[in-house]
Amino acid sequence: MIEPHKLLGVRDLSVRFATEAGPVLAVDRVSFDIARGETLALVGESGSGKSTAALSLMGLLGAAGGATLSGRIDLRLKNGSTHDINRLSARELRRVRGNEMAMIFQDPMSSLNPVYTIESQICEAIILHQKTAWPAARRRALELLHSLGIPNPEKCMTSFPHQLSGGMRQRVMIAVALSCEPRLLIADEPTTALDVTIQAQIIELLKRVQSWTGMAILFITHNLGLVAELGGRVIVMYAGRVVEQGKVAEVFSHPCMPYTQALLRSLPRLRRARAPRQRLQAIPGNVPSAVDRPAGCAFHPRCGFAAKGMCDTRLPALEDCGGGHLAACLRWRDIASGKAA
Amino acid sequence: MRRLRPVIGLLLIAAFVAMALLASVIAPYDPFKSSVEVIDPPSARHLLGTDELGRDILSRVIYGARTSLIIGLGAAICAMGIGVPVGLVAGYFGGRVDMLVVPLIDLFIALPGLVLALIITVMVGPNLLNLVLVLGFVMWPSVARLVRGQTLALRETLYIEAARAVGGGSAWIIRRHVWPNIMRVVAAQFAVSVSFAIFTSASLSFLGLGIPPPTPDWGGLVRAGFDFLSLNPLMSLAPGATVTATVMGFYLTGSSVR
Amino acid sequence: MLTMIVRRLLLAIPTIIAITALLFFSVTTILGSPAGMMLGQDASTDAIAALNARYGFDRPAIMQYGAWIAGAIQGDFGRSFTTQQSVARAIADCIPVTLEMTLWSILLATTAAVILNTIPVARRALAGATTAVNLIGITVPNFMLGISLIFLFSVWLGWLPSTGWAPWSDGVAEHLKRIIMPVLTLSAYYFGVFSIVYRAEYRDVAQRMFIQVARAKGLSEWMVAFKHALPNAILPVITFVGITIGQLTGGAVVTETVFSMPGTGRLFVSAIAGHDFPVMLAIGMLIVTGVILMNLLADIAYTIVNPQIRFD
Repeated sequence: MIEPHKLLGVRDLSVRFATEAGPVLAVDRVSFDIARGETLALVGESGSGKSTAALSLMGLLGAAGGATLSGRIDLRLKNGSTHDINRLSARELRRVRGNEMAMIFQDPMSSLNPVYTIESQICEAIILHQKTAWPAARRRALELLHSLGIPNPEKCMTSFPHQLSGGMRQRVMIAVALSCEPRLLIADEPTTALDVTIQAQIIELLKRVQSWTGMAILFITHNLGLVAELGGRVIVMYAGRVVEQGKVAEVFSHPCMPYTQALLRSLPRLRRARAPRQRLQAIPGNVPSAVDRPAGCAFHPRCGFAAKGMCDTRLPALEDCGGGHLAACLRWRDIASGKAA
Repeated sequence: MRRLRPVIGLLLIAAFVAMALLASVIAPYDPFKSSVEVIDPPSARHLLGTDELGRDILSRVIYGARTSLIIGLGAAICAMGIGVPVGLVAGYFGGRVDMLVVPLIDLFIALPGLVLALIITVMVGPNLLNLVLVLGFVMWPSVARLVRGQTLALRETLYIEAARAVGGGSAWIIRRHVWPNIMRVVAAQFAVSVSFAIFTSASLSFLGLGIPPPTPDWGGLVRAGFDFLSLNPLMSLAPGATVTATVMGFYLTGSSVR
Repeated sequence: MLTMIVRRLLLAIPTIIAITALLFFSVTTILGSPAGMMLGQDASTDAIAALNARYGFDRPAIMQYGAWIAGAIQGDFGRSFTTQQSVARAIADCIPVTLEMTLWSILLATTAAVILNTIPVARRALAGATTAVNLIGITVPNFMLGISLIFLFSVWLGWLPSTGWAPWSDGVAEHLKRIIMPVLTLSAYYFGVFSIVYRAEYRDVAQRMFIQVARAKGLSEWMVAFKHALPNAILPVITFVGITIGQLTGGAVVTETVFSMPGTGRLFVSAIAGHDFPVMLAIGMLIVTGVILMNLLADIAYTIVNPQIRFD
C-alpha cells in the first residue's frame, strides 16, 4: 500500500530476460515513488534498464515475451483504489493503460500507424476508455490538438501521419496520451529523435500541460540538460540499479555517487564561472554487458575512487546523504570530505 | 524446427541422389521391359505392382529419379548461367543496362512459369535436353532479380567503395568482393531452382507435354497411374510422393539459408 | 494517381502487342505452316496451298499478325483449328469455371493465411503447424494433391464425385460437390505463398513502434493484431493476389486437368497438345493482359490501404 499523496509506489522491481546468452537482469530491485503532479526524471545511459523499467510500469513487457517481473508496482487509480500492476489480469491492465497512465515513445516517426488518420488514432483511446460516441470523442480530440498548439487542428485531424513533421507527430502523440486524462504520463525519451529547437518546444509543452492537468510525469532520458530544465526529482540508474536519487537541484549541485559526478562532468556548460578552462571528461570504459556484470558495485571498473577489496566485493545500498538525497556508494563520505584519492 | 530444416532437406536430397545414381543396382527389374503381368496389384514380386504394359512400377519410379536429377540440375545450372551474370551486371553497373533488364525481369516473373514452359516446350519439341534449356530459360529471371538486389545492396557498402578507391577494376571488385558475399544466397537459390525445375517438369509430364514415354519420369508415371487409381493407387501416389519429397528436400535446403 | 493509371495503361498496350507478336512469330516460324499441321504429314502440297490461301497463311507473317491483332481488338480471335468453333466463344464458355474456382481458392487461402498468422493465440500456438502447412502448400505439386484428394474422398471414402463439372443450374449441392476438391487443391499452393509472405511482413510490422503505442492505449491483443498490424502487413499479399487473379489460367492448368474441369486451363493444355494455334494465342493474350491489368489494380489497392504510398 502507498501513502495517500502518492500516485505510484515501485518496490523492489526486478526484470529478468531469458536470452540465448543466459538470463539477464535488466532491472535490479528498483524502488521509487511518484507523488501526484510530480516530475520524476529517470536518467541513465542506454542499457541501464530505464526503458525496461518504464515499460514494466505499463505492463507492456509481458507482451514482448521472455520477461519475468518481480516486486510491486502500486498505482492509485482515479477511483481512489490502489492496485499492483504486476498482479493485474490482462483485462484489468488494459483498463489502466492509456486511461490511468499513458506513455509517449521515443520515435514519433514510427509511433503513429501510417494507415489511419490522426483523428481516428486520437479518438481510439477516448472511445475505448470513456465509452463515448464518435462526435464527443472528436470534439475532445480537436480541443486537445488546439490546446497543444497545433495550427489548424481541423486539418491535422484528417491528415495521415506521413503528412506531418516530426514535432507535429510528437504533439499528436502527446494528444493521444492525454486523451483520457491520465494521472501519470510516462515519456520515454520523447525528444531524442527531434531537432534541438523542437526538443525545447516539446519540453515547454509538457511542462505547460502538467501545470494545467496536474498529472505526474515520469521522464526517461539520457540527457542531463533536459533533466535540469524539467526540475523536480531525478533518479540515476546504472546497470539496472538506482545509484542516486534526489531533488534535481540537490543532485546536480552535490552529486554523491562518482557515476553521477562523471556524468555531470561530461556535460558541456556555457556558464562555468569557477573553472573556465576545464575540459569535458568522458567516462572511461563502457556500460557493462547485462549478461556479465562486475561483482560489487557495477561501476567500480570505471570509477576513479574504487577501493580494492571493498568496491569490487560489496554491493552498495542506497544511503541517505542528507535531506532525502540517496546515493549507492560505499565511499561517498570519503569522496565528499575529499579523503578519497 | 529451424535447425532441423536443412538437416531434413539434405537427407531427402541424399536419398534422391542415391536413388538416381544407384538406380541400376537397387531397381529389381529393367524399367523398360514389359511382361504379361499387366496392372498387377502390389505383391512380393512387384512391390508397387506393374503398369499397363507389365513393367515393374518400383523400378520405373527408381529410374525416374535419374530423369529428375538431370532436369533439376541441368535447368538450375542454365538458370544460374544466365541469371547470375545478368544480375551482377545490372546490379553492379546500374544505369541503362539496369533500366533495360529490370522491366524484362519483372514481366517474366509476373508470367506463370508453367504456361511459359508449356508454350516454349511445344515449340521446340519435348526432349530431355530441350526441357533442361526451357526450364533454365523460364527460371533465369528470378535468379537475376535476386543477384541484382544483392549486388545493388553490396555496391553501396563502404568496402566496395574502398576497393574502388584503391583502384581495382570492376571485374576484380566483382570477383573479390561482390561474388564471395553473394555466394551463399546464390547457392541457396540454386537449391530452390532445382526444386522448382523438378516441380515444373513433373507438372509438364503430368499434362502429357513433358518427357515423352517410354523414359521413366515421375510426372508421367503419376499420369499413367491416374487412370488406375481405384485398382492400384500406389501406381500414381508412389511417384507423386517421390516428386514431393524431392521438391521438398531441395526447397527446405535452399530456404533455410538466410 | 490518375496520370499514373493512364500512363500504365498506355504502357500496357505496347507490352501486350510485343508479347503476342513474339508468340505469334515464334510459333509460325518454329512450327511451320499451321496448314501443314492441321492436315497432317501426308497432305498434298495442293491441299496445303488451298488451306493456306483460305486462311491467309500465304501472306507475310507481319500481315497475318496485323490481321490477327486487328481482330483480337474487336474480340474476334478466329476459329479453332481443331474444332472450328469460334475461339472467343470457347474461351468465354471456359472463363466462368476457371474464374469461380480461382476466386474461391484465393478467398480460402487468404482468409486462412491471414487468420492463422494474425489471431494472437493462434499465431503462437499454431506457429509450427502453420509452418508445416506452408511447406506442404508450396512444395506438393497440384497433381499430387489433387490425386490424393480424389483417392481419399472419391475412391476410398466415396463421398465426392472424382472428376467433372456441374454448373450452378444443376443445383447448389451438386455444384459444390464438384468444386470443393479443385478449390482445396488450388488453394493449398496459394495458402503457402500468401502465408509465408504475410507472416514475414507481419513479424516486421509487429516490431514497429505504433504496435507498442496501440498496446499502451489499452487495446486488446486482438485489436492490436487486426486493426493495427494487419492493414500494414497485408500489402504484399495484395500484390500476390493481384498476380494470381491475373494469371488465372496459368494457375489452374494442372488442377483443371486433374479434375477434368471445362476451364481455360484445360482448354489451353488441349490447344497446346493439338497445336491449336489460335486458341493458344488467345489464351496467351488473356494471361498477359490479365497479369498487366491486375498488377495495376494491385498497385491502386495499395494506395487505398496505405495512404503513405502515392504515385505521382
